[in-house]
Amino acid sequence: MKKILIKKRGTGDIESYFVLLKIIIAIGVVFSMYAYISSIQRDTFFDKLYLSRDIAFLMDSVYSSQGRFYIEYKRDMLKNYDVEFLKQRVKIIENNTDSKKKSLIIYQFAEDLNYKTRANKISNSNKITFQKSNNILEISKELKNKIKLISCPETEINDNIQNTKILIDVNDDGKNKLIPTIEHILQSKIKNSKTTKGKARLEIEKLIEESNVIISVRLNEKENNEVKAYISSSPSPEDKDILKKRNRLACLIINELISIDSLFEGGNIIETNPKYLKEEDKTILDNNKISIIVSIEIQNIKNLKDIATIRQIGESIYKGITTYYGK
Amino acid sequence: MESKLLKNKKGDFIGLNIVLHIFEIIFTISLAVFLLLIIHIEKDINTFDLESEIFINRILYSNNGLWLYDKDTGRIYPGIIDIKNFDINDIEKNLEKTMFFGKENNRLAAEIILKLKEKSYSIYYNKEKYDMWVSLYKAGYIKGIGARKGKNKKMPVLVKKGEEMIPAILDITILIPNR
Repeated sequence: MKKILIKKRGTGDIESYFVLLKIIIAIGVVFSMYAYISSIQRDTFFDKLYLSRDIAFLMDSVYSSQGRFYIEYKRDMLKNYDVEFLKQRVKIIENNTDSKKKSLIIYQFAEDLNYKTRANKISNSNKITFQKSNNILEISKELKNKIKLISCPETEINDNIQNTKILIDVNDDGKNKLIPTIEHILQSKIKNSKTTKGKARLEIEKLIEESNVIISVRLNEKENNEVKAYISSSPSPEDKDILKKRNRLACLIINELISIDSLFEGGNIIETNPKYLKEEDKTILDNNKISIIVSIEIQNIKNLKDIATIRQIGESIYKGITTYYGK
Repeated sequence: MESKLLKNKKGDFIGLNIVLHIFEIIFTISLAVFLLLIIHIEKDINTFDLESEIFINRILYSNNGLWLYDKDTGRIYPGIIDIKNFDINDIEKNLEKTMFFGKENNRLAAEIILKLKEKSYSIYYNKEKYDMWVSLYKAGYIKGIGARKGKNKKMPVLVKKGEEMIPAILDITILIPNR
């Protein structure tokens, strides 16, 4: 060893050993760097941590939110994991490894025991759905019409459809020529009904005064396909029962409309103070009658060319009215 | 040919040395980049602020008996306390029911103080743990495993006494273990 280091002619050989050693060390470091980087690339820890907390916080917010609703939680990375909801815990489990190596991350959420929580295991999906209705929270369950339906207030209706003067007012704005079909259907089915079509303002005001029930149908172009019913929130103080009746009629009509297959995404009733409405709507709602404005919001009114669908809308409104009168 | 390229007259490896120096420079730069990268890879998520805000909202917007509740419409009025139905035991039971973490709750504890002009009422959520944790929080022990983080929020509320609405302050302190 001593000889090798001291020998002059051997210095080149010693340098070449050092070079070889350096190369071996460098290759070793490069390989370990590569291994570390690729482990980070494969590492799912952060994803699982993020998803578990995000979903647990969403659960917390869902429980404290009031009313009925349906929401979708979408994340592309969800496809790589199974999600389970069990005993106030969200479990995020890797689904692309063999069963022995499946690692999971759990995070707790606060359950509201006033709600029955029903959850399916979520696999190979990039979304989780949450439906809250009455005292039930359903997670990733099939969307049923029953869940979409609004629970209607019960109230005693002593009137008869034959003896009730019903005024029908369809506002089409001329955007779709088939829309008056709704008016024709309602008028042909309800014998004691009148329409505002082609009438002058004074004549309409007189008709409003004579009628017991006013149903106004509006078609609006909006981003979502929804049905809204506007009712007046200010009944006369001596007759609070009328608010319940308006609510019930609006609710029954909406439930019939949203039951039409894949036409509407949902519906709701909006109690409004008529003084904030447009002049023509004010005359419809600002009275002590059972009056509602059914606003049908469709993405593109011009695309509503199918006569069968228009007929279905008209018939659904009629069905809502007959259910209200108990027939 | 090979010896001419790699060795000088004395037989030293000049060409190979240059190649090696270039390689060393590249290697050093990549190592520096790598070290900079791993320093900046954050694997911890601090969600305390969001989590505490969500829990305060759960107290504020849940039907836990604290707020005025209209049975007919099923609507609660956050920010309005009906003194007629104000029962601390009921509210505490309802809080446990509306924010249930399991039989053993090691996730959250809270103190809610309703400050009226003449009197203050204290309501607890997970009182046993609150009493244990509050000393750690007040001592400023908020970092590391085992520490307790806390958040305090004061908000004006109205207390309904018959037809009269009395202004009051609701003081909420929540404690969450560090994770």
